[in-house]
Amino acid sequence: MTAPTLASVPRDVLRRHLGSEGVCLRIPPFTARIRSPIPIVGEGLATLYAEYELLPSDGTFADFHVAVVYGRRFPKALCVFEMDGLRPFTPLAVGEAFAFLEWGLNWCVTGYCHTLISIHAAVLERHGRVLIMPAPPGSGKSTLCAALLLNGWRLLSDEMALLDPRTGLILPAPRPVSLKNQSIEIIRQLAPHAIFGPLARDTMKGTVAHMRVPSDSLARAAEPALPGWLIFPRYLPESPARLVARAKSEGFMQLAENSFNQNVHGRPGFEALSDLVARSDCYDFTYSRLAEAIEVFDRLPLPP
Amino acid sequence: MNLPAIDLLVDALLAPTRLTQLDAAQWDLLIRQGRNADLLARIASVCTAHALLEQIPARPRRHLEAAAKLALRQRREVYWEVEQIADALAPTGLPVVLLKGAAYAVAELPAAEGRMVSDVDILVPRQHLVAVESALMMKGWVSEAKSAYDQRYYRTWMHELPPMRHFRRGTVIDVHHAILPLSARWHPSSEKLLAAALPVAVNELDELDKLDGRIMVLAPEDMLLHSATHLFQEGELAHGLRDLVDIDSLLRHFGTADAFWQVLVPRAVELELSRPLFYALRYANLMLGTPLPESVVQAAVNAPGGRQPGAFLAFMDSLFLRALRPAHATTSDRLTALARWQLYVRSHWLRMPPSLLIPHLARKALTISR
Amino acid sequence: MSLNTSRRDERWVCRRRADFALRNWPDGSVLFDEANGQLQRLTPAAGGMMALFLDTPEWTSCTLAQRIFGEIPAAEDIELVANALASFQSLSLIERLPD
Repeated sequence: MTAPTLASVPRDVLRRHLGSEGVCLRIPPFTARIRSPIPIVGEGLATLYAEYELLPSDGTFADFHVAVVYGRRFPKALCVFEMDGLRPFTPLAVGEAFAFLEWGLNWCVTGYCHTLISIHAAVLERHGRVLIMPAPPGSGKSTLCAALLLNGWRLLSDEMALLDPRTGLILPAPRPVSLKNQSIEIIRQLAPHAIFGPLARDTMKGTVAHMRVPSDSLARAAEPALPGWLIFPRYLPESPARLVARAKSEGFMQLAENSFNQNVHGRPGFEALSDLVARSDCYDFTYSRLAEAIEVFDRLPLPP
Repeated sequence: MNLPAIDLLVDALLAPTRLTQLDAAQWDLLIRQGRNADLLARIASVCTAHALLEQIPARPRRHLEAAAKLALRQRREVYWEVEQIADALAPTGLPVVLLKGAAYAVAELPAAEGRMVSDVDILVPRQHLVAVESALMMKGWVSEAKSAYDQRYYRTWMHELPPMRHFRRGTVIDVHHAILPLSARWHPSSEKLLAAALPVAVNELDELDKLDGRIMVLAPEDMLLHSATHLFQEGELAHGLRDLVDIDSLLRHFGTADAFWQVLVPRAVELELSRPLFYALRYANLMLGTPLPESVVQAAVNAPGGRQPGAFLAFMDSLFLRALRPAHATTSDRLTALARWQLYVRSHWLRMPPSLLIPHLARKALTISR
Repeated sequence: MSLNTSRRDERWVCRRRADFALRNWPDGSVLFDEANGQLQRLTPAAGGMMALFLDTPEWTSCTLAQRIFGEIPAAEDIELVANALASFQSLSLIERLPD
C-alpha cells in the first residue's frame, strides 16, 4: 500500500485545507502542519511537494505548526511567517510567501532540532558516501548542488547537513532546491524538464525560485549515509575547475563556523564533528563552468 | 470560570506516568504548549527522573531531548560565566550574590533541572554599583542601553543597571541593587537580603579553589520571596507558568525543613513582601498543587496585604489564572491578552508613581511599533 | 640569548584537563573547551604540547622542552616553549603556579 501524497488532493481542496486547519506533510525527517490563505503558497506546495506524503489531519503529531499569513497592518501586501503563534521574522512581500515558508521551515529545524547537529551546507550522496559543501551565500553552492543532483548524485539537502552525533551518519532532509538570479536560467538550460515553483522577485536575495527534488532522492529519504567529502566551493569568474587539498584542522574550524548548533552539543558534538572531518577528504574547490565542475566531482576518489 | 485546559502540561510536570498513555494528538498539543511556555526541558528532566523518557514515542521525545540538551549546555556555561564574573569583581572585594536561574544552578537546586538560563543576575549593594559597573567594563562587559533615554530611565527609576553584554562571549549580566524598582511602592531592604546571603560550594567551580566562598545565593526564604516578587510585582508574565514552576519547586524543596516554613511569613512581613508571597502561595497551590502547611496559609492571609475582599480576590484570580497560562492559542481564551495587559499595567502602578506611567508605556509602545 | 633561570623553572599546571577535548591532525589540532564551548585551532607543535598537558597536568618550561626536543634542550628551545606557555595562559588553558 502506498501512502497518499499531496498530488492526490485536487488544488481547490488543497487551497481550502491550507486556508483552514492546514495540511500535514511528511517532510523527512520531520512532519509539518502548514497553513496559509495565500494562493502562491498553495501553488508552490502543489508543484514542489506533490510527491511528499500527506498525513491525516486528525491524530497526527507534527513537529512544527507553521503558517504564512497576510500581515494585519497592510492587508494583502505583506505576509508573515508564524511558528505556532511566534513570529520570528519581519514581514515580506506576498510574492515571497512560498520562499518565506521554505526559509521558515529551515529556521524551525536549526532553532529547535538539537538532537541533531545542523550545518549550513549543500549535501549530496554517491556510492554510499556523503559530500558536504558548507559555504556562505554567493559561493555558488546551490547552483553546484543542483547541477550535481541532475548528474547522478542523490540530494540530501541543499541547505543543511543534519549530522546524527550518535551514529556519525548524515540524515537526508530533501526539500526543493533554492536557486537565485542567473542560476535559475542556467539550471533550466541544463535540465529543461526540471520543475520549478513560483518565482519570488526582488527578495533580499534577488530573484528566488525552487526546483523540485528528484523522485529518487525523495524515495530514499529514510537512508542516511556516511560522510565522505568535505568541500568548500567558490565560484570564481573565468577560473578553471580546481580542487586543492585543505588542512583538516582548518576544515574543522570552518565546518564548526557553519554549524547552527554544534555549541549546544558540548563534547559529544565536538567528537562527532571531529569524526566527520577525520573520515572525509577535505578540499577547496574553485570553478566557473558547471560542466567542468561536474566532471571533477565525477572523478572524486572514494575516501577510505 | 471556564478556561481552556492546560491539564496536559501540568500533568506532564506533576504526574508524568500518565505521559505514556498520550496519543499522537495529545503529544502534538503538549509539545506545542511546552515549547511556548519554555517548559520542554523541564518536562524532559521530570521524565528522566521517573525513568520514563525511553517510553515516550520517538517523534515527540526528540523535542524533549533537544530542549534538555540546550538547558544542560546553558547550565554548564553559566558555571563558566559565574566564574568569569567572580574574577572580574575580585578587585571590588564584593561577593557575587546570584539571583534566579544562575542561583538555582550553582546551588544545584531541583528548580534548576531542565530550566533554561541565559542571563546571569547578581545583587550588589547600591553604594558599590559604580565600582561593580567599572570592574565589569574592565573585563569586557558593555552596557546594552544605547540611548540616553534608556540610560536615564534605568538609572533614575530601576532597580538594576541596564543589561551588560560581554563583547566577546555575547553573554549578558543584569546587575541589581534591589529586587524592586526605586520608584516602587515597597522597598524590600537589599541590605537585609545581602546580609542573609549564603556562600555556595560549587563543585563545578571549586576545583579551581580560588573562589573561596565568594559565590553566594539568597537564603532559602529570600530566594522564594524574590521569585514571588519577580512574578507577582514586576509584571514578568511572559513565562508566567515557568516562573510559577520555579516557585513550586523551591517550596517543595525548601519545605522539607520546618524551619523554612517558620521564617517564611515573618520574613515576608519584614521585607514588605507579604502581598507577593500571598499570591505565590495561592497560585502555586491552585495551579500546581503545591503542598502548603495550613498554618502558613493562615499566616500569609493575616499578614499585611494578605487579607483581601472576596470580590477583589475573585477578580485577581480571573486575571492571574489566565495570565499565568503559557501564551498559546490552545491555552488562551479571548480574555487572556486582556488579563496580561491589565497585570502589566498593574505592575507599573506598583513600581512607579502614576505620573511616570504614561511616558514609559507610551515609549515602549512606540519602540515596538517601529 | 641568555635565559634567566626563573623562566626555565616556572611551573605550569592545566587544572581543567577534564574540560578539554583535543583532536590532532598532521596539519594542526583543534581544542574544545567544555566549560565555555570555545574552539581553538592549534599548530601541530602547540597541539602536541597541549596533548602533554592533558596527559600530565604539571610541567616547567624546562621539563616540557626536554620532553619535546630531547635530553638536553638548547636555551632557545626552552625560550620557545616558555613563550608558547605564556600564550596558553592567555587563552585560559593553563595557569602559572606560584614559585
